[in-house]
Amino acid sequence: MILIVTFSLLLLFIFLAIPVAAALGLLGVVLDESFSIMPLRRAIGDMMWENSIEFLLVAVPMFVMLGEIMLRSDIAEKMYDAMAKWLSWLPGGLMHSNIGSSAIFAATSGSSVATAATVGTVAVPQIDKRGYHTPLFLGSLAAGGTLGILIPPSVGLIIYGLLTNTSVPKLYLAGILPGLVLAGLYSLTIVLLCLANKGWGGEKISISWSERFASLPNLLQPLFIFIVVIGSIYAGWATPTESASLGVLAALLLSWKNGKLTRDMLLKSFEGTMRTTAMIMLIILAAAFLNFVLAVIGLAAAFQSFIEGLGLSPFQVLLIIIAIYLVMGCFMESLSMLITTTPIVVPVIVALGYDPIWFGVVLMLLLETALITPPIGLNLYVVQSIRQSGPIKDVIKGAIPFVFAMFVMIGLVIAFPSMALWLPSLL
Amino acid sequence: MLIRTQGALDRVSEIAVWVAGAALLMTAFMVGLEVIMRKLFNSSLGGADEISGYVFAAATAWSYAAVIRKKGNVRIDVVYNLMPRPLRIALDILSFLALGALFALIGWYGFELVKGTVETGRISVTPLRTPLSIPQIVWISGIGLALAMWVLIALRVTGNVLRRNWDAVSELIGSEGIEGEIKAELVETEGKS
Repeated sequence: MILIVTFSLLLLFIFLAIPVAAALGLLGVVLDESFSIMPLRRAIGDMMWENSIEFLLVAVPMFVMLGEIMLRSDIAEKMYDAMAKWLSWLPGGLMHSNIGSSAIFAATSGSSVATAATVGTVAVPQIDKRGYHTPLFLGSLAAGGTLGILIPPSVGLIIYGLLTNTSVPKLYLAGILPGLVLAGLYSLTIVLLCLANKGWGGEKISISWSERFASLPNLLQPLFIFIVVIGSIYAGWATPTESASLGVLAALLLSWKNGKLTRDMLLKSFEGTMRTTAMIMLIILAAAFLNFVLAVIGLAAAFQSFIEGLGLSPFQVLLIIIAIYLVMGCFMESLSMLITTTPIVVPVIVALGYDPIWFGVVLMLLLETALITPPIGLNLYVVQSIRQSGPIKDVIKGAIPFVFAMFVMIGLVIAFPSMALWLPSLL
Repeated sequence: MLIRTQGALDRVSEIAVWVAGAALLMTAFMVGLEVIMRKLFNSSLGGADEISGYVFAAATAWSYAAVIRKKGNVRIDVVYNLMPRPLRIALDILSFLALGALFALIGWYGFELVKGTVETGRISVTPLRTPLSIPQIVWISGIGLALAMWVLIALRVTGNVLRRNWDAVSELIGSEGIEGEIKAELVETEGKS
């Protein structure tokens, strides 16, 4: 009963286009009124405050600010140029540079949308210049961008770690290998499609080895940020939040060195940072209250016994959960999906005997898929709005091959859990 | 009159966002200093994490007004986009009321919390022993700004509904859609040089 009421109300609110945060909060109030023995609303004040000052969540605005500063500091342009020199001999030319730049940018940024927007802005002008197959080129940008939440640092993994009480440094390590393999699968997809379809790969670019080596210093700047953010964690110097703060300082230093640090640029970065942060935090606060109510009225337990009552094997349950995420991902924005589902789904997964760190990686892959599946795939819209002309159908069509690459990746992580769990086991 | 108040409130919330961002940047410096001191000199400022939590709470709270004004809340508009305009406007109004209810809820219980803190003089259970009323009052004032923004926009929407000026209603509270949202973000990054 509780299950049906909860899910149907949530779906109703969401499809009425009520802001996600308001939908979650109000659902909490309705459930509290109808099912809980004593009103929990009195706990709202305390809960809002405790979540608002949570040190782990301070990493969210820090990563957003890091991205905002990098975006305005010329770092992406130089990196793209270097990746182009090293990777464009492959069939598919600059599309590999799209993937490579996305992977590197992902290693300095915690967000998929920021990654797609940054690399996309630099890459899109190249389509017509070199005669690439437009849909595939756009698809590679939308898909490459999704690496942002899988390759550490990652805002998605931080929120997952907070909600499930798992270690963020371990989650970060778990994301590295699958992230690199996924980038490889993207490149493989491009190579295969360009070999099969003549003319998709654009004109050949020839580059001498001396040019290649000359471009290497352009990779030093993103490398510097990666070392500061990730290195400081594993050297045991800093917690994830502290490392994010150090990343902001490192980005600030680079933007100053590149001559981009101005008052105007800072104010714009602040605006972008605070808008995104406030939007995310409002959802997190509302979800925290809802999750509290759900725990008290026993929804997670009801869901668990419902799943057990089905009499399926753990593997079958896992497949069903993945299928639900894939369908949901077509219609829901990925961050809201992460925050609302994690507290309900992860206890079930753990009860089935799966590792929560491993599932964190699977969940990131599912969220990445959600980012490029229509009709609601944030990265599709990001790439489309950079391009500004032509139908969005092109981007959607071009992203489809990469969705299959993601399916392969999800299959690989399920078949070989050690891909995710080997690095964290060394910690 | 309402328009002029809106101008003033917009200015306040714009400045609040800048101050919030700057405060977070200062926090990054403080936390960075803490890490360096701890590593190199084996000593600690003490409480950098606690203070950054307070700054984070206040900075976020003072930015909510701008989110309401700029329609920055995530709305899933798959079904919404398929509906005829009158129904969409009805949903916009419903959504805006729901958002108001959420902020009223946060504001009401937040205020109760802060009132309790002030009356009992609660202090944080940390080495800093922060009198919690200070960060909490800054925090709840930010929520207050958000509520003021909501009330003002609600008044303007009511006026426009009475005048049947639906375009103005859409402009105030209509869904930007994800496309509009991203466009706004990109326009902003255009000026990155």
